[in-house]
Amino acid sequence: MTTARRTYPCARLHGQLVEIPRTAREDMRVAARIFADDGLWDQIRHDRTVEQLVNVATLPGIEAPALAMPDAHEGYGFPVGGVAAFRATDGIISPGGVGYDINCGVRLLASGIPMADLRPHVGALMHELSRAVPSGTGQGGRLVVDRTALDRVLAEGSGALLERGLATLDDLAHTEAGGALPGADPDAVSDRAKQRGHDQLGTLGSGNHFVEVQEVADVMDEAAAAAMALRPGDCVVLIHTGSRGLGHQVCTDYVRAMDAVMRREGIHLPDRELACAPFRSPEGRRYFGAMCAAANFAFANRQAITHAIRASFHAVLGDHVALTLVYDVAHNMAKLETHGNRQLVVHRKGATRAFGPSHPETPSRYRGIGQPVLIPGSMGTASYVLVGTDEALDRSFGSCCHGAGRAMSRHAARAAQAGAEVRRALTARGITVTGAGNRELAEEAPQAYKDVERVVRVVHDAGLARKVARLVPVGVLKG
Amino acid sequence: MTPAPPRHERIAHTAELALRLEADTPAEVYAEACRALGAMLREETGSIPAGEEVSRTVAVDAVDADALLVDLLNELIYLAETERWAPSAVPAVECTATRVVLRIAGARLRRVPARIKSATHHGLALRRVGERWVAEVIFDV
Repeated sequence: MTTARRTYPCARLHGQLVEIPRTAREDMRVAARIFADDGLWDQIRHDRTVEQLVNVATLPGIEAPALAMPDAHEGYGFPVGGVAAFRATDGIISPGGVGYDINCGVRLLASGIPMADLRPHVGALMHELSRAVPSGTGQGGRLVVDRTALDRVLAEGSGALLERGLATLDDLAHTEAGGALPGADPDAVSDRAKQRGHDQLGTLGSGNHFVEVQEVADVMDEAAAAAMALRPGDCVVLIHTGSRGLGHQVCTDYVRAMDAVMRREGIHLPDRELACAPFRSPEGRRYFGAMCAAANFAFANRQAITHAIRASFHAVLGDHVALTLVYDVAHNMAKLETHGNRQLVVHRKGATRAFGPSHPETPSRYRGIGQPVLIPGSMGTASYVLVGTDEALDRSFGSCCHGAGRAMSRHAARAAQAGAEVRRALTARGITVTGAGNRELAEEAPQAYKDVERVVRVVHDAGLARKVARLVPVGVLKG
Repeated sequence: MTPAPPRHERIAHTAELALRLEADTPAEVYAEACRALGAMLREETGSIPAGEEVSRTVAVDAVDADALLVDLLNELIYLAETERWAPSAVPAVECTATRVVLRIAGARLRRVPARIKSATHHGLALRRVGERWVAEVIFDV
């Protein structure tokens, strides 16, 4: 954008945290804080991330400093990598603060198969996956549902797929919120949103969405890795996608609807994309119901893809292969959470929930260890498995980064390296890439992103999450 | 002086797609927005339309000029995803402060586009700059 960028005073609080004081702009209600070391801070402060975070710090009912994770970059409204908690009593809920891809998230499957055994079959497996999981621009998905069945998915999330044999109880137990947010209201989802979503269950979508076959390259925490059935050298599968067109339309509908609410409530915003309503207002509750329904659709979408991936492994390697769900976690969501004695609406926009070992919502398998936190790297670079910490509740409302974070615009990425060159470089490293054209490959090239190793080191050193395992890609199916 | 034609260009954004639109009137900005979005949709799904040419009238009501632009673009994104249709030309456009009606020529796409999720309000202001009307729109991708 061509408008001038404002700079703000800041102070480094410690090696991983920078603060913009509440006094930096007169409309700020709280400070803004960015988790970053010097190198990442230097990248983050050069786009509109800070301006957008300062805007978030002006919103009514914000309880504590607005936060940005070390992978933060400019978005629209909230920065990507933003976390903000609003009081349920007198605070707001913002569709723009959740974003268009409601419950975009990541899920990790463990196979127990040594990569050495899988390696000869990687080509066949990636081919099978590309057939079974419709990607970017596919015409509809593998699972077309009528309105009644769609409403059930919106209400029950992954659980709606149990009867169809596409999910197991163990899958649900290892999905955030059991794969279904309470409070979902299918009637609050428009016909347009349902029209966009009815044939999209089991589809990846476009952009940075993917299915990756990976190898566990390093284990840093043996006890935690063992609890997740992650052994060095084993094959795992990482899935990244969200609520598809249904979620996009829910956000579009409610950003529009908030205009009238803000006029009525006298809410003045520095950025119209921060459109919001008091959480307790009828419109705020209705958006919350629609957002929860769209989030449930996303859980079910990743579950349907999981079923397709299991079928692909069976087709290539035999029926004895069992892919177990390690965890499924969202990174675009607003959730009603209890922190101490406070009821807060925690917005995570490009940020992952990271609850610690003693949190009641951490699945029983991970009590004493912490909720798995899944951090995909950029295409061709490592991804990380971490676990949440109890300390993160105080430091970040139990939140962590969600990826490497873009550092370069798509245009700049295309100018920097041709897609064919990116493909050659990945192939030379033994990484099979399917489902993407050269244009998409150029836009998603590793150099377009921040250094994931550095991002993960910051969240680890800041105590937001703890490293467990490092995963490296072997096969990539791009959306 | 000969009037300058409407134009659009991509502008930098770290993560999303951003467009700068420029024309002599707000109505022409809306028309140019349709053409620009159509070009982006065709770029994603292949440059050759699937064939069938379809013209339609699109009418949008909104509270102000900025919302009109965002709502118009989101209407076109919805039509692209649900009907595999993208605009190519805008033979007629009329607008008031809160309503725009466009006759749009377009064609079916070879595939359903999935890249552009929505047009956003972030930083958007349809404003007069010298003799021209200008707007910058960010799309979530």
